[in-house]
Amino acid sequence: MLVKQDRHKRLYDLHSWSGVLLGLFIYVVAFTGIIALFGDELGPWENPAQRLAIPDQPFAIDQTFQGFAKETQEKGELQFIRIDFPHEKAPYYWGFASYDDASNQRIFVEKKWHPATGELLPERGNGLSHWLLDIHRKLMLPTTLGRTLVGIAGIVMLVLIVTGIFIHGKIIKGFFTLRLDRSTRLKWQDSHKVLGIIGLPFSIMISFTGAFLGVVAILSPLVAVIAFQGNTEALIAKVLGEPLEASGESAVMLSVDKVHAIRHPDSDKIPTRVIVTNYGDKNAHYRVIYPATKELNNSDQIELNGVNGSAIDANLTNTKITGANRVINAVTPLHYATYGDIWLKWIYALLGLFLALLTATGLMLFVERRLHGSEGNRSKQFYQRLSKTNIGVCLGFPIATAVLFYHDKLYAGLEVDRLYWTGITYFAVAFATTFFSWFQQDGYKTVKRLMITLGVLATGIPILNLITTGATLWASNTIGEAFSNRTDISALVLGIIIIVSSTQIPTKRNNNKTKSQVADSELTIVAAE
Amino acid sequence: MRVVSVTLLSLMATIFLCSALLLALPGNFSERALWITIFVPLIWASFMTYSYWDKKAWRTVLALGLVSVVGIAIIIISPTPV
Repeated sequence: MLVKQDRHKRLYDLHSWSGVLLGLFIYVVAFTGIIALFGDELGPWENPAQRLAIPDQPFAIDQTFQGFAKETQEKGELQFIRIDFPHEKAPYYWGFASYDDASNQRIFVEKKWHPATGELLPERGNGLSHWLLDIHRKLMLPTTLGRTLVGIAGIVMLVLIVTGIFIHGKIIKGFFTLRLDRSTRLKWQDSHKVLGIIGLPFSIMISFTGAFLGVVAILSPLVAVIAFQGNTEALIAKVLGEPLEASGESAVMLSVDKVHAIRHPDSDKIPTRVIVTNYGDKNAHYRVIYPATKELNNSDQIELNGVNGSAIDANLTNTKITGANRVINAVTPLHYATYGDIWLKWIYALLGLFLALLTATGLMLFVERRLHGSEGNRSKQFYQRLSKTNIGVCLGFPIATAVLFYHDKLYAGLEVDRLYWTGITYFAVAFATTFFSWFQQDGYKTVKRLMITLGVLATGIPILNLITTGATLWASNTIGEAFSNRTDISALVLGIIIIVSSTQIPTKRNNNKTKSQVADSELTIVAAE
Repeated sequence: MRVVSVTLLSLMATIFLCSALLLALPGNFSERALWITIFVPLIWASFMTYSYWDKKAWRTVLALGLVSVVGIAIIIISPTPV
């Protein structure tokens, strides 16, 4: 045993109770994280108008962008504007801006233009990809609250990992022990340990980076209150430097087409995005973003005067790389697997699935030890309900995710209401599945039925895409079509795996006790005492 | 007592300790702020684990309370960064 017996018992209590209280929440964060990895692929699948190729000679967008900026300025005080140039992950021009309206409310607007013709791409309300990404990032709650809650899931996950290591101790032995043909309790116990050990480095990394990304949202205002008498702007200015103030003197802006042609001095790559502050002012400032050249870096960037294009710093590179910068720059690529190609995302998805299954098996183990073992002092009905809730939630959210693909293609309402109905559909399906699970007598049959439903829904996603948009798996002439096809192939493969896995689920509980199982249960009683 | 430590005192100790470190440690402010932010999840998770590590529950309350008090004292005596 890695720690003394009484400490082992306390850490076991912390591990099991924090797991059972927050396990389902962590499961939802982990599962939605798997889907969030494929945000780039989901966009073109969702919107056929985005299945475009990057032209050799892109359309000169400056006039169109100026029009977009002017139009936004007429609506209210422009706070921020940016343009994305056509690139691999988004092969179209994308203008994005925010302004404060008369009631001082911040409004965000966006427009997308064809990369070769400059024509406005058809408006489509936020839906599938927006929902699946934001449910993971902030649970669709206000940013600070949502990100904090997701960050707390990361912190609790770190605690579960640390306590798990201490209470299980024998990592090497645990790695090679998987007794699926023995008692149900041993099956859950071994699965939980093996999944935990296989995914340990990944779980530590993803929990830490997730906790960091979430906790930053609440930490800045808190530290500002404590150390800067509540002045958040003073804290931000102290960390990031004073923002460049507008002069009040208007000026003609440097053409974004010219900026598009500026290659990065080190990598020779063309930019993917320009973020403009103080648009139309003499003190306008362009932050030009390039694809990262160094591994585990989010992006490279240079800063230019927005009027005459002169470099803000002598070396045309304003990235001051310090140790802390390096670590912080690595957090997002590490968390979202943006430093590799689709294969890395698949490895992440597999390890993320292990993490989700780790929480699910942990919960089943908790229930098993109480429902059929000597632990716990609640009624049998309580643990049965907990078990059914666990099944309902663990399969309800994946089914809800699959149903969203169908909702996306079959939705016939107003585009402005698309996100609202996406959310209603998502939670309605997740809760309905949980409700269904509550009223089923046999947990094994419920899991089997729900898995078959999930598998069939996932397998049908490419067929749905073929029927509604004419997309076929074998035709990918553009980068957008290739991204859409990746989504279809992923859904098809996953669906088949889920259907095949569902056939392996036993139809009833294994109640046969062998000598060694009796010995195991005796050992558990001794340990509990 | 351990539940109070793990849910409330560990968070308070983390916030006050990190704010105090931000104000009291030497070096470039921006760099310090970034490093402390990186360590916040680890510090918080360590305090939560400590809440159940120590044999005596009162000792976890005392230790985390003490960290918070020392943090508050450092925040009070340190000048506001300009």
